[in-house]
Amino acid sequence: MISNDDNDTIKGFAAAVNSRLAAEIRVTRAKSFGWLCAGAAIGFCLAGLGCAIAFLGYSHVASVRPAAELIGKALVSALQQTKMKATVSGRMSLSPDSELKLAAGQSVLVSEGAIVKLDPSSSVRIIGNLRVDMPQPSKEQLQLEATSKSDELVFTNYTMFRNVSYEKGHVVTGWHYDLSDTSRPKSQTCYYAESIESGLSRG
Amino acid sequence: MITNFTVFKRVPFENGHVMTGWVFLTSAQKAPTSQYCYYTENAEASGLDVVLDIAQDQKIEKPKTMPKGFDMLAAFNRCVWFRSERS
Repeated sequence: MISNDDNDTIKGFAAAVNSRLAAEIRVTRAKSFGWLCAGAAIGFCLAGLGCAIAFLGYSHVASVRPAAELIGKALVSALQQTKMKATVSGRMSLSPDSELKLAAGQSVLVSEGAIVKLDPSSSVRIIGNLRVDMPQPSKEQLQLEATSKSDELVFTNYTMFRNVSYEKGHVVTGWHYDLSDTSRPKSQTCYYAESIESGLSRG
Repeated sequence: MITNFTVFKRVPFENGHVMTGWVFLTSAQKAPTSQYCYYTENAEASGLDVVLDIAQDQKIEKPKTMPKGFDMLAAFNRCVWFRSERS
């Protein structure tokens, strides 16, 4: 037989066990809820971070300015490092009545062998000395040290002769140069010469 | 049109000058094509130049009529002939 006291003790013990179990259950539920919340938070954070990265990447793709800047920089860099060599060939023709003017300080170089024609009605004004392409005696041909047999004082000069056929003879023009100034003749002569018989001539 | 040039060597002689001419056709010639020597004197009265041929290519020429008292040999010795590299 169980006495009333014993019965009360058992009931008390059962109540304590129930209470303890209920407390354990609440603790376990609380922990599981905490873990659930933490997992959700981590999940949300990761999802947010992924979305942020995705949006950033998309913004770089979708935005016009960064792409244009990149392309522009790439082009500038490529052009700076590129050496361009171009050859232009062809022929430029001007209409016969066209006129060309040179800007101040510019010059035109005519290639060797090229022929430049002047308008027959044009006039050319030359400032400075004009040297006609004529043969000039060389130092060896002048022989300034040459003397006569009698060792007299020798004076040297030279004359350019131009012979032009005229009638039965020639018109001869002589440009007489002194060695002191060979840029222009000191005097000039012109005469007509015709051979009238062997060994004689008249001028 | 033919262009050439002549280098003249002038030496005083008597009342005029003995002139020697070296005829070149180009500036590159090593020696003249021909040489001649003559005596010239200005006759002040007439204003004309008297010319007397003395030599051609170093060979003396004796004119048919020689001026009186003119020393042809002395004049010839005053001709200045071109000295080529060989001479």
